[in-house]
Amino acid sequence: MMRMINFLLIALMLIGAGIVYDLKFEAEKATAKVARINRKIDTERDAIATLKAEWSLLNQPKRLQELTERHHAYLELDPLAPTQIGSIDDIPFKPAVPADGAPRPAGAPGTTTAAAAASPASPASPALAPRPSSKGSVKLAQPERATDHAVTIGKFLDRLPSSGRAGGPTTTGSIPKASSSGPMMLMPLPPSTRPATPRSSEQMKVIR
Amino acid sequence: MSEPSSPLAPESAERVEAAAATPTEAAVDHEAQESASTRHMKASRKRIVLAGLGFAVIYAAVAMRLVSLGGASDEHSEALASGRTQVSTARPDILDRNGEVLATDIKSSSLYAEPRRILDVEEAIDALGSVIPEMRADEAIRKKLSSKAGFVWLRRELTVEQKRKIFRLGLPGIGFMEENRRIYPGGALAGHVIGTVDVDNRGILGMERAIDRDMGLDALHAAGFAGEREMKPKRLSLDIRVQHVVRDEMVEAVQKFHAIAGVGIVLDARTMEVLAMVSLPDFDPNDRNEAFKKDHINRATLGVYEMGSVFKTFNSAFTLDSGKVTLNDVYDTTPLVFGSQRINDFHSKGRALTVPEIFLYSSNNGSARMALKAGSEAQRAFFERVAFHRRLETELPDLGLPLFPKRLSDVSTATMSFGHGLSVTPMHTAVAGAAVVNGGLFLDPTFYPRTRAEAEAEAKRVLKPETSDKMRYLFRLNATPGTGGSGSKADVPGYRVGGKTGTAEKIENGRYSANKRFNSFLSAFPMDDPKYVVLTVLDDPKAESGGDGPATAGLNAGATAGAIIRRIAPLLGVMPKYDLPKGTVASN
Repeated sequence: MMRMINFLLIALMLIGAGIVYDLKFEAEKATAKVARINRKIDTERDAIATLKAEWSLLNQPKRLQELTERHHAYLELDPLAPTQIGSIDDIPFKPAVPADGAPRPAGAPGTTTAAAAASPASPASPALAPRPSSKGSVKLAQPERATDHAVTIGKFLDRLPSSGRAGGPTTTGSIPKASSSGPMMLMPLPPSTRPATPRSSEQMKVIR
Repeated sequence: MSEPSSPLAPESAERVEAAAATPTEAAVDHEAQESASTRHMKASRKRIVLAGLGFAVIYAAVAMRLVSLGGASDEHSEALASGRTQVSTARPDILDRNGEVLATDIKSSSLYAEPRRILDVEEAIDALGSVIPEMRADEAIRKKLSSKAGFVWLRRELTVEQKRKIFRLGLPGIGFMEENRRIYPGGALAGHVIGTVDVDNRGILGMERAIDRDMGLDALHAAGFAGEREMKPKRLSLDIRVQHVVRDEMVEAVQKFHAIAGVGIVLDARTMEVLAMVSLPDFDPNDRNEAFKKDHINRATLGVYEMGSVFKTFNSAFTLDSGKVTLNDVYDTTPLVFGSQRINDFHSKGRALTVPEIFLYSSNNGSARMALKAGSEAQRAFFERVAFHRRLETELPDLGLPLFPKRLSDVSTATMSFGHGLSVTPMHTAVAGAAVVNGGLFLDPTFYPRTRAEAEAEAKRVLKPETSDKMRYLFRLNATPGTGGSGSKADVPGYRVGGKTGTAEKIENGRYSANKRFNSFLSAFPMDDPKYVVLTVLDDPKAESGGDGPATAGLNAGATAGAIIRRIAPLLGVMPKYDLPKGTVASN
């Protein structure tokens, strides 16, 4: 009898030890995972900060102004004149259209080139009248000058006076590279590399 | 009884035998036996003590080694700590009022080595050279790695790719440290407002310094904390778009008129928030060495100048406010003479002028007579209410102290009426101008966002609302084309601009020089309910063509203010209005 109890207790102890060991192992794995995720979060956060800085570099009013001036022939963007601003009250009532009048070309401005240009749709803002789109797309494909002056953060940093950056490889493109190499997944992946969601939905069907 | 095996056994056997012998013999024998046994005992005890001592020595040695190991400084962590103190700390981002980034930290990794832990220098250099080729040939790096130093920087600011590759090499004694690097995406856009930081990312100028002061970052940094804290971004009252427009136009004006310097300020007239502040020549805060060049001082808040005729704004305001002068009064404009000093008019009309005419034609003598009529006391009281006698109380660290005459006299009252004899910063002028047109409420300017309610709670009344109404009328009249007002060049149809020119003569070799000017234009728009105040200042502008033509403020500072307003009014949501009947807007 006593022996039976002893064996039972020994078995219980062994099982307990096994469970504790397993728990400890799991906990270690979880800790490692937390650390890994935290590191990833830090990387992402730094990447976000860098991208934000890059965005504000690219979005500087000065740069935008230079771009609009350089591509003025195509964009024809000019400073807003006070006469181009009006309130809804400034727009005269639509004149009565005869019942058999030709249907107005409806649709997005720009798609209907001649009609939009000819129609008195926007008397309040003649300068804002939609521009023919055909002219644009041709010119956009061949800009007058190459837009190779995009100030990326890398180039920007390279220009800065700094202590330990004598020459050497530029930091240009470091961000996209980082995004393709593992931890950074800031942009949606192309379908081929996307984690297999379709399969999991199939599995769902099977389970049902 | 079993045979005893211990070395003591024969002794005890003898003792038993001795006990069996005769008592005397036994006693003698016993004594001998006794002495022999104690001798043996002593010997064995010695041996035990010796063994004990041996162990004690061994244990003491172990303990001492433990203590020495425990107390020994850890070279590795010491080296790291010395490196970490060199790393720049984190700072809060600085945003404009719309959340656009003005200054931010980006992380960069720097490569360091602990030469004492490097096993094979040649191998390490070879491996590093496979990632950064020029490191292979670099003698300085070889020297650093062969040294006995605890910590050396190999390369600051690695690219992400380089870091990854070097990390994969798994070299002992080579590591990375994350650093913060402050960048200002706008470059010179708002250098004087934002300021800059030193190598350790501590604010040394402008708002960067103010932030350190407000947040107590200095103390935190000294305590070694500031590194890891998440910090909330600081939002400024600046508007990046307005700032850009002001800078763009001011740079153009300074070039066009060959001016030495220029200042442009845009204020919210109600809350006194600074929407834009430009002082040219300016600097790019990314290059901190440039910030402290003498030429790059902040002329908008630190430099004090005799502002000239724009002060007729304040003169008209306080004289009208005193009630002793009304808009319909007429004043003689013949030269006033104080002893040897004589006041001249630039544009003398040769007749007595009404108060609006004095304002329009910028008559010095008329203004002086108005000021004398209202009295020196009233003038001084008003100037003190609008802070012309003290530094402005605002966040920016570099604030100039106005040169304000200590004593009251008729001469100083007369000259101060047209802006000579006292020097204030352009910011003083802009803020006082805002108080004149906003209904008479004065408030120190701020570089942080402030709501109207907050502003109203803090503001002090310096003028009666009716006076402010009259001043708006004068401002608008002066900038309306066709009235002969000096500010007509600044008018932008639709935006109801009003303003006052100032063409001060600069003092050269102790005398006022007729061809060195300090031009300014204080304007506000829309005049029916002024929301924004624009001040443009050009130091020593020449005529546009480069010839000897006129270089009065209306032609340069005024025109620049007009160009600025034309561009910022739509950004700030000011609706153009015309006195023409409705509907004509559309057909324009």
